[in-house]
Amino acid sequence: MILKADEIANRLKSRKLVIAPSPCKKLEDLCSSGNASIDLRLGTWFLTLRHARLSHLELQIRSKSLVDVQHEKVTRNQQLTKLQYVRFGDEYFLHPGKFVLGITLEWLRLPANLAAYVIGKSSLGRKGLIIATATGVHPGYTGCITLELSNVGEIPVALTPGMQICQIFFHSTNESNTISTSRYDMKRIPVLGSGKIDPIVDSLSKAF
Amino acid sequence: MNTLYYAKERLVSFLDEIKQLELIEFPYTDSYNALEQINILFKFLLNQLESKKETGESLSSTTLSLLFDYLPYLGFILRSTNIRNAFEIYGPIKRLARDVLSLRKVDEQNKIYVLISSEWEYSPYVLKPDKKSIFQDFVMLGFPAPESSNPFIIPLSGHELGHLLFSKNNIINDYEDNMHKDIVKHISSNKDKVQRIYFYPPSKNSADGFDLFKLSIVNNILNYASYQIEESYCDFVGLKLFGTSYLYAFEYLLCPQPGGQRTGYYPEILLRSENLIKAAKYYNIKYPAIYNNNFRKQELSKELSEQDKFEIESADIIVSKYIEEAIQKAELIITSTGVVLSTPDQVESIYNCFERIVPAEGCKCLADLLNAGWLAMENPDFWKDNEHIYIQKEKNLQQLLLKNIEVFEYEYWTGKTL
Repeated sequence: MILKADEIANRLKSRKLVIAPSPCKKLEDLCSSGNASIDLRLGTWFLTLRHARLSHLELQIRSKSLVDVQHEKVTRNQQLTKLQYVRFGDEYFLHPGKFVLGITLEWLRLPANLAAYVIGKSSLGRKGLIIATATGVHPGYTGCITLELSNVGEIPVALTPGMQICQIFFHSTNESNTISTSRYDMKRIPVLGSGKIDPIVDSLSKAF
Repeated sequence: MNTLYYAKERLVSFLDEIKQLELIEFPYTDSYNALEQINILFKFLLNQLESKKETGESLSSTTLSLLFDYLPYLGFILRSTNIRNAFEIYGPIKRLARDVLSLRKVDEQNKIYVLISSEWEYSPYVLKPDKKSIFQDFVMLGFPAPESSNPFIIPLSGHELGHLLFSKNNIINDYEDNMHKDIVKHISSNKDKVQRIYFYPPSKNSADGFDLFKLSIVNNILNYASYQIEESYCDFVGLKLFGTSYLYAFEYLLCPQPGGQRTGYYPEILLRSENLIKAAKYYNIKYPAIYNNNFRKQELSKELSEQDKFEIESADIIVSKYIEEAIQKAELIITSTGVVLSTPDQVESIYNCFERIVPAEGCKCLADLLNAGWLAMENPDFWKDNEHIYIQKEKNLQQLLLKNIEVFEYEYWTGKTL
């Protein structure tokens, strides 16, 4: 079940769900909105790829052969990416066709019985800004949420830290004692991530 | 070619370097402003040199001497933009600096510029502008590069702000005369020793038989004592501003001391830690029960001459008389600035949020956050129930703390806090 704003407000009030800084000045305002999502704001850190240092990105990490070890060295995050800090009040210009990882200003902590989806805002989408894609947030997630931002429009768009950038829908899940532990927990800065080894792909890679 | 030509060429290269630096990304405009100040100064100097028809040797050498003075600032400015820095701390530190230096009045609010840089030195420091410097309104704090993203060492900035307070208020004047008198007395009461180690025969011309040569010894001791009392005072300012977290940050960065030998410009480290505890008791600040255990007494180098040893040991004795006064003075001055100080209730409330792995909202001051952070860090069982977070506790606490500092900053600008 998707939670409506008043139920989200209830969970925020009881501190079972935490979003900091708080998405609204008063929780009553949230209750009265009637929405089924709340808006999240853009944080101050951005991560782009260093194209000139990159032949390609390996999306599926395989178990380590010598070649892979070397590849891993070369494709270390820091070598491939450029981190930028944009203070409150300043702007980051995203040009047409460009892609950048941003991060929510808010730090979230989801309880074990809540999952969430992060999606874009139509007001921004109409101007070409797409907030993609890997939108699922699992129960127990803790940290800021990395945003995959791309400009599919025809003119550059100005991103301002602190602006409302996306919306989050919360879904109740069945109660469970186990919570997801994500590699992306506890992040305040967007990261590219190193991927996981998939034994199936590993086996397939030995075929023929 | 004459020296004027060389000077001009070097100045042109220097200005070219500034142009290059202007192209980098400045997370905060104060770093850019600092660069512009240097740019303006050296463009002016270049114009002056260009108006010289002849050798202009004196102007050339003055200009070059300024160039040598300001070159390190370019490096400092460049490193202040490095992404390794914890940029989230900038706003809270700037406000703290403004408050500590009592620049709260509206007309003075914008007068302060703050640069936070990362240094290739393992000791945080503040660049203290001399009276002729163009950086009178700048606070330039440097943290060790490998630690510059670590919020847990922020309390040490309190010590560095102490240096600015010390020089802004000429606090040394409160001590110098009395310390001078004490040193003279001290030397007189150690007359035999002094005459022996300085190989100096008693004078027949002076009233006390002990004259001018004493002057240089007095000055040497006074020099050491002045530095030591300033360092002690700054410790107390840092402690007063940041509470218990200052003690932990101090211990983190200064224990163990490499080599274990000391310089006379700082109080001996074990004594320094004991003085901090003395101050903590006076300020009613919580301190760890076994704080001094990690500090080892520093010995003076065996290579020092008897004379140097005597001077440093004498400075130690003199300074010890003024520690309590410095503790009180630091408290008085910080209280008078109206800076919001840490309170146990606030720290506990933030600590409780950290336990739940979330930032706290509505925080009152940076010190509360740092105190809660250190409290969590020092608790070996903290987050033990969350294994995947506990496994990288230090790193995760840093992330949470920095995020909380950003939340604090956000709330400041959006009117949710003080």
